[in-house]
Amino acid sequence: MNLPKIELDALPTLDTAAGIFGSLSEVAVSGVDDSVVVVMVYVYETIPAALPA
Amino acid sequence: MHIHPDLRRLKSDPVLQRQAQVAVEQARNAWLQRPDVASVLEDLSAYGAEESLFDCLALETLMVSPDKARTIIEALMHGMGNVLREYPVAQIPFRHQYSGGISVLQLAESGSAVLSLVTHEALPKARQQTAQSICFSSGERHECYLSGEAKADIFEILADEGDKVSLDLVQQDISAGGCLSLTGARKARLIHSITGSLTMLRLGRKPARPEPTREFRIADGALLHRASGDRRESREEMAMALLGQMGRTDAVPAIETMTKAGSEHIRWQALRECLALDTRAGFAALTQIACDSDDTLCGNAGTLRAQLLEAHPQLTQLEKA
Repeated sequence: MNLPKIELDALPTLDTAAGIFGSLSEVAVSGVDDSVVVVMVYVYETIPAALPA
Repeated sequence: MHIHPDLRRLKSDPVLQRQAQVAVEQARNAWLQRPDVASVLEDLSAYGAEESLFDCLALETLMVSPDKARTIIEALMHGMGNVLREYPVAQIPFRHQYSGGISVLQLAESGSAVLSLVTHEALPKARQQTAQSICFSSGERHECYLSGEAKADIFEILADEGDKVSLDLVQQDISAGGCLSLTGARKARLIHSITGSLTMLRLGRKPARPEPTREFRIADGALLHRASGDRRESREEMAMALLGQMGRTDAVPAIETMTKAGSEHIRWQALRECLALDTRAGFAALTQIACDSDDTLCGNAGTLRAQLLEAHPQLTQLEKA
């Protein structure tokens, strides 16, 4: 079956879409928010060992 | 890159690194084992497991007794200070950060509760800016002021139309010996006009399902920004976006599962990523949501499904399959 490739950018977000945890608008003054934001993502890749020549 | 000679020496000397690390950890452990600290931490674990603060006597007393709070903080500073005199570049074994005149030392975390020592410094006049917005987040926050003076603007949402609120403002002087508690997503505070520096012990607790935080313009109450209140959910969203950009089709089953549980936001983002990674799997997930009238995303899914069918008539093949 020949299916189309759908581009992520062509898919709408919700009207109530939320930014990432801890994010603020551009007008927020740095220094007035003392919350601690820790969000990290690790990706572990398994690289297959090279086959002997 | 400039590296301080002391750091360079520490980096090249594993024995010194080990000694410094052991010394700060011993100081931390000695502090944690103090009876007054141990009883607070025991209460923190109950509070972090949704116990009421009033049922956590040691913790509740600490947050309203600046003298008691000062005693345990001074004990920590004394112990750590002694180690730092001997090992000036030792790594303090508590999560910490410093930015924009605010330092945070996270003393303990248990479940949804966090106990921190926070200092706000007065910034030089040239760097001082008047806040234009105020951010509201769900949860509880209790502060016990240990030293310094400042003013706090305490905002309360009186009427809420979602993208616009009417705000009430109460100004309050805060100083050593005082305490402040804010509960729920309708109250927030801004600290300003600091004299020297303001140091506080802060106890925070997030609800099990935190609401998104909302930032409003102070002048007219207009919504400026909405952010997820759930750290775990944002982490999953970032991981999902990364895997999507990497074209990792092997992640499709996991992303498809995420379309079925969680907040509307994360479910919709998962649906988008799923559609972009795997048209067949994504369209099946979209159809399932669009056909479930009890699903809060049913309307959005139905609209998107109709748009996709119009833009890509080949998708009708999936309906027949």
